[in-house]
Amino acid sequence: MMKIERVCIIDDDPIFVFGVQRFMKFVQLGNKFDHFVNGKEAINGIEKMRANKEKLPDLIMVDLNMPVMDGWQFLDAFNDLPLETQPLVFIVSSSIDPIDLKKVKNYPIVSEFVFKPITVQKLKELVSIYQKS
Amino acid sequence: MPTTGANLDIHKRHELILEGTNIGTWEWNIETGETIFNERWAGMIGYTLEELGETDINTWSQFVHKDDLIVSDQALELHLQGKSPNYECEARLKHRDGHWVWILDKGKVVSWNEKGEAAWMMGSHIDITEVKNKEALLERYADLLDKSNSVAKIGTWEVNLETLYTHWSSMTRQIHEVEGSEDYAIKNAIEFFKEGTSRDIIIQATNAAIELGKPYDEELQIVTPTGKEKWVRAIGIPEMHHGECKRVYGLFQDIDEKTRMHQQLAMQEKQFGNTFEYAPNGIALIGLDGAWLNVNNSLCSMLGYSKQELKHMSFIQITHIDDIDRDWSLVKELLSGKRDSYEMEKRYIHKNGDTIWAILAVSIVRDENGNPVHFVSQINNISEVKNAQLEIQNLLDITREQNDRLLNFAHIVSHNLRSHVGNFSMLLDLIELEAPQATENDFFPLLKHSTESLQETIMHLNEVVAINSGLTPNLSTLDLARFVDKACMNLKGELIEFEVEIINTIPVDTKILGIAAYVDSIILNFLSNAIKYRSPDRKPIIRLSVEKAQNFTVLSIADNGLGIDLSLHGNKIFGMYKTFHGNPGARGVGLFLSKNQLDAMQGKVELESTVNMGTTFKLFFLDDEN
Repeated sequence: MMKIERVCIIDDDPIFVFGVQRFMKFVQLGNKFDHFVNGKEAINGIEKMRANKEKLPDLIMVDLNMPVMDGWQFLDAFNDLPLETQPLVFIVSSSIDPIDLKKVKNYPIVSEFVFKPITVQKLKELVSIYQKS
Repeated sequence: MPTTGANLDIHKRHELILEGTNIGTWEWNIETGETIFNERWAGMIGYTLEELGETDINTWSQFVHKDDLIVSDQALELHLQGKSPNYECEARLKHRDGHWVWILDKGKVVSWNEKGEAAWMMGSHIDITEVKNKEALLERYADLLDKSNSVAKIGTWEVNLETLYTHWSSMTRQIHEVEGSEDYAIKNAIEFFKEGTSRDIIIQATNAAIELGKPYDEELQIVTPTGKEKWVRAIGIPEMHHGECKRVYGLFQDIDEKTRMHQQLAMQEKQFGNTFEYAPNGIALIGLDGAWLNVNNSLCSMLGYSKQELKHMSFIQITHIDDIDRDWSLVKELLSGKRDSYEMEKRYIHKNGDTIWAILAVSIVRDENGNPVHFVSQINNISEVKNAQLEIQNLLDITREQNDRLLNFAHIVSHNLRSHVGNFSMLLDLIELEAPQATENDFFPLLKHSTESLQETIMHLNEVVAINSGLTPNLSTLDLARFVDKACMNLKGELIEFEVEIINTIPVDTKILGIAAYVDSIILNFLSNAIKYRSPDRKPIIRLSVEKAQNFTVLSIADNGLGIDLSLHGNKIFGMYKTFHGNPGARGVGLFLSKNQLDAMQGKVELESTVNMGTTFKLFFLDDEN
């Protein structure tokens, strides 16, 4: 139903950010990308967007292990933001720690837990699920 | 009443005299039987004359003891026949109180009739009860002495210095173990003494007794005619007369048993002393005030103090300050009778300041009235054990810490490695997408393969970490047959390709306890192994069956493949290290993982294998009932 246009990537790994953007172009997912290296930067960035009355991201891909403010802390802070529309939120992490898998159940705003490495194939599947529904 | 010879005046006088003595008198008319007693006669047996009433000779026979009457009659007969100048006998009379009174009865015929027959007799009674009693006592004493001599094995002997022969009592003979009653010449008697010290001493003692009048008392050994040696005590007493020895007599006592026991006791005491002194553990006698009364060598060396030093100290002085209260309260329980012994682990302080760990066992010694006398303490030095224990505890703590750190480390490493290898594969994907010409380079497939291998390894590593971190969910009831079917489905391609025959005899309702993801992975792993290591020489057959074993349901996966040389690889089969290095004998990290997963589900794995015959893995799953 909805078209994913603006994608926000929160990850401190520049190679991943570089790679995933190229993949997204390839599968035609999104046309505007925001990149933040940690949760704190991301919250600031989103606040700025709201202040400027910009269109907020349709999809947020957040890593878990990051300095300053990690993925979980970002989700807590993001949850507290008064937003009119709720974007899709994916956790994209290389963590396979069972604790993390358990913890994600407490975050209903998270739609997917995607394990790194991300592949074109996986991205295509996700697009097919969320872009059409 | 005839008055012949009975001068009344004299009679009166006599009576007066007799009154001043304690003598009873009687006068008997032998013809008529009439008898006259004085007051004292009656008093001796507790009566007055008045109470006796009319008296005659029957009065006497009424009171006298039957046995004594016979004796008296005999004596009387002798006298009346003129065969004895006086009548005299000792007789018992019955006292009014019931006891017997011994009487010395004396009498004499004082007048005769015309025919020359005895007419009157006069006599006296003297109370000799006291004397008689003493006599009886003496007799008893003599008897007693004889008996005690025989019990104490004391004999007597005497040497006649004129004949130089010895006379032995029967006990003395008995001690010498000789029969008959012959006397021994002193020379022969001396030969009974054991040659050497014993004989030398007796000769010397005998000479000294005879020549100098010196008594002796010696403990010596004799040898009996049968050759038996025994200890005796020989006491000799010379009897001197005007400086000359008239005779020597003495005692002879068998002290063999006593002496032997004494020697044995001395021996035992010595042995105990040795045990005490040289026991490997510390032993001490401790006074009720805590002072060391006696200590053995082991204790001294354990604590570093000499016996002398310890004897001036209390055990409290060398007890670790933290153990004093505990020890002292137990001591108080001993003293109060609440307990008779106790055992505790405690610390002493060595003279050099070191802490000595010891097991202390204390018992209280009481006298026959139950009053505490002292304590006996046994002290075992367990410092080495204790230190080893502490060291182990220390190591355990360190190990636990290391383990935690290692787990943490494994998490970090696996996470970071995953990130990087993820990037590798992502970049490789991008190259394929955007620069397909680069994939034609010979290095590209190698790089891609290496990345995939690395990724797989890291995945395994992660799984291992996950299992070992104990973050596994609870066990649930699973349908084993369905898991097996599922694994077969997943391997369908290979089963068809290699024409593998599966013989499955697992009952449909077989339930186990497990974690679904693990059971999936385990069955898949063992099945794929069975296919992978098939023999090229024969059609692969895999038999699947279950059996019960105690709390377990055992799934057997038996193949007819290559088999494993267990003597070569047995202990490495389930190892992780070797598999990471591509050891050809190992079967991939899968076995290591499966074993870990089974362990996590409280199960286990066993295997049997014969090279070129096949391998059977037995997987133990907990029963549903658990």
